[in-house]
Amino acid sequence: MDYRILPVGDSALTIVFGNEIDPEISRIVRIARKYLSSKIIEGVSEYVQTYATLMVHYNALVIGYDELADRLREELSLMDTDGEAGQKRTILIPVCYGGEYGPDLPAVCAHSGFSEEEVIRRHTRVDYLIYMLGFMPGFVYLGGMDRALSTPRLKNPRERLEKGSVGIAADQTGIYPLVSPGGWQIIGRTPLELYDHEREKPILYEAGEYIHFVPITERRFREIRQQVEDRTYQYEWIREE
Amino acid sequence: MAMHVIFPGPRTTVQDKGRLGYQNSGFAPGGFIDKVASRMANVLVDNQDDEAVLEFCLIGPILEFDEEVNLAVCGGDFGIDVGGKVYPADKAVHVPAGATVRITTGNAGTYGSLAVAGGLDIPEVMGSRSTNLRCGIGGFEGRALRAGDVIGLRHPEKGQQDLSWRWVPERQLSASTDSGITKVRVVPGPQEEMFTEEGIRTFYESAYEISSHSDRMGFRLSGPAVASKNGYDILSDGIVNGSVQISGTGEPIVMMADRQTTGGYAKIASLIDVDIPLFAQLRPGRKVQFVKCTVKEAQRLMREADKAWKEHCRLLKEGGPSRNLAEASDTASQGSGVPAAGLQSITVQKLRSADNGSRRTGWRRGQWNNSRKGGRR
Repeated sequence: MDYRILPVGDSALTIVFGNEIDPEISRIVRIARKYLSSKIIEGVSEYVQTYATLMVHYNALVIGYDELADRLREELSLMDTDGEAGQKRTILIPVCYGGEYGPDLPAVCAHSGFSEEEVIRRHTRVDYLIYMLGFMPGFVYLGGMDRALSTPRLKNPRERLEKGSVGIAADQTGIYPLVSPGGWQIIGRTPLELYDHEREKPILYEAGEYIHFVPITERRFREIRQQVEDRTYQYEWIREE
Repeated sequence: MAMHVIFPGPRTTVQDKGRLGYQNSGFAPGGFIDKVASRMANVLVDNQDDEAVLEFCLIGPILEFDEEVNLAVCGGDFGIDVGGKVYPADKAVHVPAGATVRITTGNAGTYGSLAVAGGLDIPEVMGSRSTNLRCGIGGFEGRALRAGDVIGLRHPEKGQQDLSWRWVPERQLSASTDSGITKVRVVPGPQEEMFTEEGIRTFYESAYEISSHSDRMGFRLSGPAVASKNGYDILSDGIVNGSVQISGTGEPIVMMADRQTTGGYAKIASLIDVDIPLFAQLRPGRKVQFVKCTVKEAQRLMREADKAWKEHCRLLKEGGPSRNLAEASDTASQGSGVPAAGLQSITVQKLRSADNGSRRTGWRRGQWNNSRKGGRR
């Protein structure tokens, strides 16, 4: 396992494991995040996982850069990259495709040459790896979309996308956790609250886990929405060794 | 006990130390943009230093208090007008019940932090009272203040006895009014290698102007483009408070408190912690030049600043130099008809001549000045 440690200002550093979007690199970054988080390193406040790096935020009044870098190297040399932190966890996200919730589904069909059913089938048969979260709270950078669904962004971005909007932008697919302007082709919407500050875990998922979309009817959308509002909805996870 | 917002000011929000621990989920911590000013305002009124303050931008609010309170404003060059009597910033001010408090704006600095003794009676969301406008959470109803808002105040443990003798011994304005180039120190990296040698030279040798497109998310700078070897895009990685990224135009953007947590532009350097408040207070039109600094030196400066800060808090608690200076300050601040900014410089001079020892307690931008004297230029 090769990596470099570089300072990022005086209160953070980055551990660089690679420089590409690759599931194996992502897996190592996730294991490193989990492993290092389980060690108590005084002065370290947060670990932030991105595609190929792990950012470590720390308080330099407690631990200096050189000392922290040495400590991290020491810990990483003992890390087992085949350990259980590599267990696959997938969250099922119900999505109502097309119609009012997915106004750009016809555009994706036109661009790909597929029927609506085929676009939905291809969009819901993949376990999408969450490489990282960023851009806005809970926004996921997903890997694994069927390239045949690639559709360019809208020429004129919409001023308002509803929260839960599921879209496609070029080779990427993703979900808007909050109301936002945006240029993605919106093909559906989930009734789930991806972000809820009153929940124990305000954001449902984390980097390294997977998302699997499940097609639902409009009626089921309304049922789930009601359960989410009543806080009775049970989030569905699949765990694999 | 409450504070009534008569006029909010254009961008007044509640901020505290920030919402820590959620960056991996995409939440920037937010929080104080000028940590030094906000902590100072808090300790002046005997609050915990990370208590929530009202942070305003250039134009401060007009407030009314239904009971007597102590408050303090720190940060930029602001004044506090209480029923027509103008007090300078960096001083505790005792406000009688029913009085109207107006913030006056001077010649330098962008952000002001207003602390009220006891603190604001608003709930914490995810461990913080900071306003996150994007999510509409925290602060007062998750938004900037509006006229008519009534914000509850917590009672300070020791009551609202007059604290107006509390004063910062040495006033170091966050941003001086002189029009020269402000030097701010940065630690190079983590993507310095993306830039050509010439690009790196351009970055450190040019003066960059703070653009008017600057806010709590980031400060855009205009000036010579920084040449890269092969574009400015990187595989998205983490961003810190003070990250200097070079965007597609080749001009720097300095990421601030409400930044994104990750981004795809190359980052040539990061502001050092002790210079972030100084930088945050530079108004649009002001010029900066970046100066290289090692991590070691940056962290030494942090420890030094922390030591001076603790010493400052100790002196304040004991009433040391602040108490001795109270008289001089009151005489100066009672002169009416003098604009707040001018008034402030008078009091600053008085204070300096009254207390030659104050340099020793230079917990603030004094750090910067001292090192400047050390021939770093």
